[in-house]
Amino acid sequence: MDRKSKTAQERFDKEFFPHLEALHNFAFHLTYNEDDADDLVQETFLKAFRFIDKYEEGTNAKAWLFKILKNAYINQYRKESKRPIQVDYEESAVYKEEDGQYSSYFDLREEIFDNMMGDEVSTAMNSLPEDFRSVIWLCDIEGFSYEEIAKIIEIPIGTVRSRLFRARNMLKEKLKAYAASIGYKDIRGEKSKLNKEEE
Amino acid sequence: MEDSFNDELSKKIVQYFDHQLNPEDEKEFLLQIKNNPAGNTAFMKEKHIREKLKANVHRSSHTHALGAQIMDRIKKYPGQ
Repeated sequence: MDRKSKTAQERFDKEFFPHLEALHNFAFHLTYNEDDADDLVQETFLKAFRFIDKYEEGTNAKAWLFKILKNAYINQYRKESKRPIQVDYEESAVYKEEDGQYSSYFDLREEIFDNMMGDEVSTAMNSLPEDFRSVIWLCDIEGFSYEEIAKIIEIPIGTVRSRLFRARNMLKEKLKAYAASIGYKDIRGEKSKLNKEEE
Repeated sequence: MEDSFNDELSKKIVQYFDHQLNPEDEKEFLLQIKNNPAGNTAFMKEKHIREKLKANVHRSSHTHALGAQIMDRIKKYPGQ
């Protein structure tokens, strides 16, 4: 290995390799297959190494790697599986930034999670359409900002926000349905309705 | 002590956890939450549920071998 490659490898070890696990988790949630996730991560790192000159040292290595991975997934796995492209129905509607759509989780019942073994959250997350699953993963699990997500998946920030809004609402509905199936019934809305009727 | 909980505060809770507030707004928001019991309850609940979400998703456990495999390929074929 020549000196240039050695220096590149040292940078690689220091800045890129610590993100291996996060990349693999994201890859798994895109492909649902450990082997495919391995291949995708491997391809991501090899591409990153090949184009390391294009990476500006000290900038956001994690976001750069996630972008490479997402593009590799679109170019390869999505094409191979010949899946119909997800219809971005939220994007056909005109997004108005001033609407300020934000979806919180605090209206969920915390007790739901106390009875979960882990699989339920993954199952609920995996049942979301890929475009929605990706924004939830990048924002809520990996902690990327809207700006970073917009760069990773190459969509406008307004679309990140509206997609996240819809994705969280979908996820909450699925978790509520799960909670109902194990006997939890959210009666808070009914209580306030009853109170209003009594008044 | 203010105890009004409104849409604006609810929106700020989400913005805070989504890293959308600048440092100054973040400081102001945390002070506002501290002095608002209803807001503080919602804030703590949002924090708790987000932590639970993170803790409950499927994560890979065997990336060590993959890491070694990638490094091996890079060392063998650095230009690839």
